[in-house]
Amino acid sequence: MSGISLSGLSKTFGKGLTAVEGVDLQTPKGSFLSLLGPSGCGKSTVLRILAGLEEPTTGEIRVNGETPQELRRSHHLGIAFQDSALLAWRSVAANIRLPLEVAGIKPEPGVIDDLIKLVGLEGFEKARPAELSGGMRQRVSIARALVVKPSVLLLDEPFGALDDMTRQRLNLELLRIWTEKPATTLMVTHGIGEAIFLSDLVAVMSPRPGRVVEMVEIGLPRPRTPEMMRTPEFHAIHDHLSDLLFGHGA
Amino acid sequence: MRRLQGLAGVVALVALWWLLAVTVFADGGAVPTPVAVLDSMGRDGWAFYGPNASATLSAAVQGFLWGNGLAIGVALLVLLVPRLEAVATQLAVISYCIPLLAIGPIVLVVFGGDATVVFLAAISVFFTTLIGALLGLRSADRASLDLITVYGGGRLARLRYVQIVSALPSTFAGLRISAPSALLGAIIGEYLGSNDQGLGVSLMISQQQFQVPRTWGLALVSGLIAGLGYAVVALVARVVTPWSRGEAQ
Repeated sequence: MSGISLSGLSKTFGKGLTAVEGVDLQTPKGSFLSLLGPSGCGKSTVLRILAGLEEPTTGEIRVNGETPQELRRSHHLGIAFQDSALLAWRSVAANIRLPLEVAGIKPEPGVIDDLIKLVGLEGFEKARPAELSGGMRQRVSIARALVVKPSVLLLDEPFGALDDMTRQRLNLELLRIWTEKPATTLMVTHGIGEAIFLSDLVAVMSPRPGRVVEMVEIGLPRPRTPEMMRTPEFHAIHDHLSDLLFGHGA
Repeated sequence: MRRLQGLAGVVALVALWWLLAVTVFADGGAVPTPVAVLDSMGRDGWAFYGPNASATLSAAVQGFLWGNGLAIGVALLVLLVPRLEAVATQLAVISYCIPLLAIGPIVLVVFGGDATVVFLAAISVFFTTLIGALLGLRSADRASLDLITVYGGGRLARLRYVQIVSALPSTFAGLRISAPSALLGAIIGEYLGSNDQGLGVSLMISQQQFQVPRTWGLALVSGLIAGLGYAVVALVARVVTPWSRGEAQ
């Protein structure tokens, strides 16, 4: 069964600013896909269309067989942005619970506590976002994305605003969490290393108007370990993606 | 430390007043010394200030509630029906720009004395609170609003979970300014009106009778009440929106 399926997707804003043009891609259900490209290539637009936040100008979209609207109505969609978008007046636990409240679902007992444990924030249940570090806030936003038990997970540069070390650590955590709670995932990123490390498939996009230049299958076996980032296979893929992004003569 | 600086400021101000009263303004009798004013206040006592202050305060509070209630209601309406924004802000600007002394007499003819005082207090607070509330409602974080949308929430859910609470700090900023404004509006209303009690009425009478220390005493009491109103709203804001400490200070 197919996971994310886009055919002929284009999006033009206002008076002819074309963000993405003719994007076609298919992934299997339960796979981890990264959209990799320079900033301004429309990769976030693709994610926003999948989330139902933008209407495509043309094209067909199905995720696990559902349209974005159906997906939203059935509450099977989890999302995390670069900006953690936590509500400053809510505690960690109340922020994680928010999607359920909006959807009108009563949380099963223990769900919130389990998620807090899963993202390693025990003891911070009652803390307010202002009391947390940037990395901790992103952990909360990942937990919040998972609270609806999503079959589809959309991640828009979830660790893009963090420092390199925190980012590396959180990528490891994300890998562990994703292995525990698998979902058809789309991650938008401009980090080549993290795209390879986490993904089954990487779609490399060109600068505006965004097109998919190549779908690269990441052959590294799972479970993945940080040591794999030092293997020749990893470096070969890294070089190939760099070539696609920056061209040979650069 | 800041409290100490504030106190030092008040002391300096009183000292300056005193100095000017006994030097530059010693002859005219228009500027009494602080002691003369306090002495007059002591002689007038609660029997004079109590009824007058409570009459004005009651009108100011009613005006505060009406004006701010309307302002917040209009702000919410504008958010739900964005097309009304231009009309609403124009109305607010007009309410702010027309001199109270110009509309006062009209209102007086239409509604009578007591209502005029409340009306002028209400109209003095409408603009600042409307602008504060509108600004606050629009300051809501985009990503948070997207989040509500993604999880199936509509316009009302966005309003309820994100926008209303995000609007509180700047709405309170408007409300804080509007507390003294409401009192000022009520006093102006009394100046025009046919009321027989109130700080404005007494101010006018004591001015006409050349009771200079009493005039100063009334001004002082009005200032104190206005400052108290400001402080009460600030305190409420701090309790209700603890997360925005520092930002709106």
